[in-house]
Amino acid sequence: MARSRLFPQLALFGLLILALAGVVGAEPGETTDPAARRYRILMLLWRGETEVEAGFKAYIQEHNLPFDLIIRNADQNSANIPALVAEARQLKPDLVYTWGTPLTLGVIGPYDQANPARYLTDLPVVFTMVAYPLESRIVPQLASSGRNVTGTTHTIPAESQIKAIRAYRPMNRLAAIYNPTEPNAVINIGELRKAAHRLNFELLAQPLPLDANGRPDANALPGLLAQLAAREPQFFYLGPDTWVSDHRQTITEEALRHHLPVFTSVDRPIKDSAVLMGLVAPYFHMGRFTAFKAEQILIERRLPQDLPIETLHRFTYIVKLPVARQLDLYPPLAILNYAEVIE
Amino acid sequence: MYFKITAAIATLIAFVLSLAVLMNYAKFERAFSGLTESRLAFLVQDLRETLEFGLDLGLDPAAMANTTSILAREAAKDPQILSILVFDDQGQVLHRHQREALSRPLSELTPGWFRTALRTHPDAAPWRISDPDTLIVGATLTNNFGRAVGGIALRYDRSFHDHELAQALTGLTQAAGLILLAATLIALISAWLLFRSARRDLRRVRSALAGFLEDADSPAFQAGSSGSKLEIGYAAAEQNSREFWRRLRQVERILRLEQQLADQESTDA
Amino acid sequence: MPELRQARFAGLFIMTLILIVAVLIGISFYAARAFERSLLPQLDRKMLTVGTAVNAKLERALRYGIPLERLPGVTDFFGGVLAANPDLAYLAVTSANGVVLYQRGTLLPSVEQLVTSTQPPVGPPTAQRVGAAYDLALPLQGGSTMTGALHIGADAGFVTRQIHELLFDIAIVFIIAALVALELLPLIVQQNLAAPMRRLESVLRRIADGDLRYTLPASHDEVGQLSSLINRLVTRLNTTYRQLIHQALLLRTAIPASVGRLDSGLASLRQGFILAPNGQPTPYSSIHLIGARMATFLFIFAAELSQPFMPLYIRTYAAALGDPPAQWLIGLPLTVFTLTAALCMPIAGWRFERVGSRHTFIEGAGLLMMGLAGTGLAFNFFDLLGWRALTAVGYAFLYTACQGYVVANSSEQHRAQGSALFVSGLMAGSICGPAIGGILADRIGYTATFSCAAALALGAGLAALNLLGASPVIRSNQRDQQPGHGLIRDLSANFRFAWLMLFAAIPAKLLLNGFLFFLVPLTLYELGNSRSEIGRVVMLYGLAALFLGPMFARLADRFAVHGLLIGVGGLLTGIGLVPMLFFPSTLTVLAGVLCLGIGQAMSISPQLALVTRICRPQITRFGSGPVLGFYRLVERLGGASGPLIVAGFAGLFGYPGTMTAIGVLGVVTAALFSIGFLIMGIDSEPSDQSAPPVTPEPF
Repeated sequence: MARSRLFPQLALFGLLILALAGVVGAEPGETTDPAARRYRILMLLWRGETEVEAGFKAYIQEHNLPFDLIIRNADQNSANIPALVAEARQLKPDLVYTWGTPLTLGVIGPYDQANPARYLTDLPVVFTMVAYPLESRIVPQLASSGRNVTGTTHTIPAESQIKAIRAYRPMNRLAAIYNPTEPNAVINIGELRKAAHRLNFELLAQPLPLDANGRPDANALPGLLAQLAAREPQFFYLGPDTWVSDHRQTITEEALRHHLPVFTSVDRPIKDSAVLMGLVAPYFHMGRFTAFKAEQILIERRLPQDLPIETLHRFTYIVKLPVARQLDLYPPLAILNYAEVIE
Repeated sequence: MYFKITAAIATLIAFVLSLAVLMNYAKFERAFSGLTESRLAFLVQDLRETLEFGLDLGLDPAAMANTTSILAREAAKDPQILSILVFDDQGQVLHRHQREALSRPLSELTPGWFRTALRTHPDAAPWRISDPDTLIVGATLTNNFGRAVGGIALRYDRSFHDHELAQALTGLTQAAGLILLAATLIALISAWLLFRSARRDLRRVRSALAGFLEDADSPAFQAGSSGSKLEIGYAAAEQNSREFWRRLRQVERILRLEQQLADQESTDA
Repeated sequence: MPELRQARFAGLFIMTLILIVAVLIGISFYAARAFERSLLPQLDRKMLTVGTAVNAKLERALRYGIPLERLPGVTDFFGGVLAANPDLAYLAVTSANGVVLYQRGTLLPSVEQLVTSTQPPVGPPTAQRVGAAYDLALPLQGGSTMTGALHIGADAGFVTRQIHELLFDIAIVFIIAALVALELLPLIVQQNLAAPMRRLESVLRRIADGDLRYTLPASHDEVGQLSSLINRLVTRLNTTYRQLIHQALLLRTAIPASVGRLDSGLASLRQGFILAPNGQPTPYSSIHLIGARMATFLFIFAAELSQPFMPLYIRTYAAALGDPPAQWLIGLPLTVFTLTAALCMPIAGWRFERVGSRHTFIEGAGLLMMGLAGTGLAFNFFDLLGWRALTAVGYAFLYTACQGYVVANSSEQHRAQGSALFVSGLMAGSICGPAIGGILADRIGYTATFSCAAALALGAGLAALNLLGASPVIRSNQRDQQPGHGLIRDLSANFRFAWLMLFAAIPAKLLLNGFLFFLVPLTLYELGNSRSEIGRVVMLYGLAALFLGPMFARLADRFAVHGLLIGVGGLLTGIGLVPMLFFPSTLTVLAGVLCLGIGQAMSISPQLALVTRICRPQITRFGSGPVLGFYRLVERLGGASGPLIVAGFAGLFGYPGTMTAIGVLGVVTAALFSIGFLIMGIDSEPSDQSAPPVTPEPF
């Protein structure tokens, strides 16, 4: 990723999310409190360490935070969660960190069914990488969880995504395919549909046809893309959809063949597929942000229910110049100003 | 007479001029400072964007190695930029570019100063503060979770700025002085012209009266056919005075005669 | 001759106005040139700074291999840069082969002009004049070759525009200078020419009529030289006469025989002449009122200087007691001022009767000066209240002194004229004060403006030393007097009087004080106006009242439509304020102020006339002084309550809502007044008796 080094990144107005109340806490001068003790954080991960944890650790190191990390992995298997909860009860760490929606739900339960027998209720919990904290019933509202929980989400509001697309080129028709069996993907398409109505564009969203096992059929992809391309959308949308992300290479190659630029709102496809541009909340930054929340809880002694559930205030706009050249679709000058340009 | 009128007009014009100078100067000051400050604010904004770009790449402000060279590059754009500083949220200076060969050392800004600046300017817009030596233009750096992590402060030489302003004020004042002088002269001449006839009347009447006082038998004053009210009034007054004077003389003569008569009688007796 | 003198005065006035205009044009031209010299290099640097940054961004795109002519979004990007830097006019990119690729902004030069100015300059880039703009061309380097140029343009009229923005202020300065000239020139001419000439002429006329009793004050000017000659003449005639009488007296005793002859001679000598008693002629003097007008003008100027920003100033102090301060705290000092002034009027009247107008005026000027200086330097909200009260005492003293002087020194038949003179001085001061005060506050700050006001008060005091003749102490019953006890009971029983007070007089003053002195400054400030702009709007009230007041007074007298004018005036005042809630803008406030000015001009003097008519029985019993005094006291108390009542509303509805609310209040009271008087009728009194001349009070 060759970064154009010194070039200023301007916060794109539309991408700025207003700070929810009380983000900036008390002066962090308290970190040097002589009475400072060390804190133990139990990190419960879903699929092993990712960039998120790298960011989390980087923040701890930069700010010399007295945190000791205990890392446990659920290996993408929900069956492992009760054991992790039991271990947490036994270890009694100062803070529990949870990664992703299934794991978080498994550890703290939905806000309206927080059964203390099954879920952690007494330990403060900070979650990350939960795409839809409201829809997945982890919190009743973003301003406050109402319980001993706070966290960060990496979902970029649909409105910001559309504005990012439109900053590149005018857009009034957007194509997308999604896996109808994946809840997050369906929620995301729902959000886009609402945005389409508000922001006045046409959403061509195609659910993937399912095969006999009820799984999406990868062979249908070229036909589906040709069909979508024929309706002349200006962009193809690659969202938070595990199946679609897994098939990113095929999808982007097909789109490129139809001269259809691909926009993504997730981190993963940027590096190794032919997307043109993306607006992402990088995992590394999510980790740093989550570490900041942990700092607020442990060092600044803020209550988790007083801290809002937030995403980043500035996202990263990424342009892949080789794809732009191939499509003959250069980024506008203003975007070059704040985008990370990949050559 | 016309001196007083001229003085009044001159006072009025001085009042008008001082107001005009005041307003023009204030406007100039605003335009001049506005241009300077907006240019510096543009520089600082540019710098802020660069640094925040670095922050968004996950860099810690303290660790951005090339920051000092960026500062030097920006400072090179204007010889009046004395120093550019990058500080963190604790008010500690992380990077500094200071112009060499300063005529006198700059007062140091304290960590408390920086912290106050950050606290009072939480948003992205550049801010401006003046201290006795420098004009300080700064911007707050926020990271991508919306937290103020530090700031930039650019210190600009006030002496150049103040010198230009003082020069403008002096120039305006001098011009106003000259204009006042010219206007006063014109007012003097105009007043003199306007009241010439009145003065001529007064003078004629005065010389006539002086002549009459000198010599009661001097020829009587003749108000011309187009004589002014003063001349006509004077003519009547002089005529009456002559009459009284004549009577006085007559009585005086009578008295003298009586005296002589009395004297004769006393010698006769 | 009087016509000639008038013509000469007009000539002098016009000459002064021309001079003022010429002077203002002269200084503006100088300023334009001087500004150009200093501002253009700054503009150049700004263009260079922005240009370098934009250039860097374009060159970055070139480094990515994006062809300059295929780069999207350039004009949009330029639009953003121009929006953030309004001192720039345009941005444009020309290619190396002389084609304008992108351009955005105003004042864009033609393609040829852009291309020709692209020729790479030697040395550092400098801006050059192209068409209506300054153009700075910066080469665009793509790799090692020059692929084009970026043009940054700024309005060549940038400097002239700065001067043009001053035009409004300069026009205000002109109007004020003209008004001051109108005050000052008659005074000077009167003092130095007209009055001495009149004295000279009347002494000459007396001499011509044989009256030799008077001499003239001798000054050092032309008139004075003639005067001293006349004095010599008069003195000589008188002395010679005395000597002769003396001689004759000696002769008579020495020579009894001559008595008969001498007596007949002396009798014929004296015939038709009046001589000075004891041979000592007395200086001839006449009284003029123009000095009182000047003094009035000066002290009102001083007192009104702070008016357009007073609530804003108070707010800075009130903020120390709670941020944001309660509205009533802002209103309180205004109320204290009006209340103190109203309550001190009797004291000032007592003082006036004791020591005369000059003394009262000088005391008042001293108090005013201290009050204003104190206001400017107040430590906190509480001593600010004290300073305002002190200022008000001074105001009451000055007001009484000027009004009393005019009344005492103008004969019965000229009293109306004298009053008009006083009121015009008052109004001129209240026009100049806010306008200049606003400008000063904007430019030199509050404290310095209050110092200017204090200096003006001092000036008024000094002027009074010279201008207000040491008039004899007059016990006048024409002035406001403390109402007796029986009077209040009697007046309260006068239902028409009570109705007039309740639904016309009190609301009028309440609206005036609450709206003009409290709401207008605060609302306009909230709408983003500067203090000079507030001063200009407030000034409109004075202008309307100055020019329309006399006209409406004449109308009312001629057609006997006092009640109608009061009703319509009240309605107009109220209606003008109603739209504010629906269209909150500077223009609406301005319209409200104009309506207020016109409405008050309509109703102020008819109100007085009406009082004298409906209170005829009380006036016959107690005299007009106490009745009018009571009327004014009640009216002023209504005025004092204005800021507090309005502040109470403002706390509830905000400023625009309050304006509408008090507007509705004004409409309702005016309607009630009109209905009441339509039912009751004014009175059965014959209306041939003209109202006694009384001074309407604009404040």
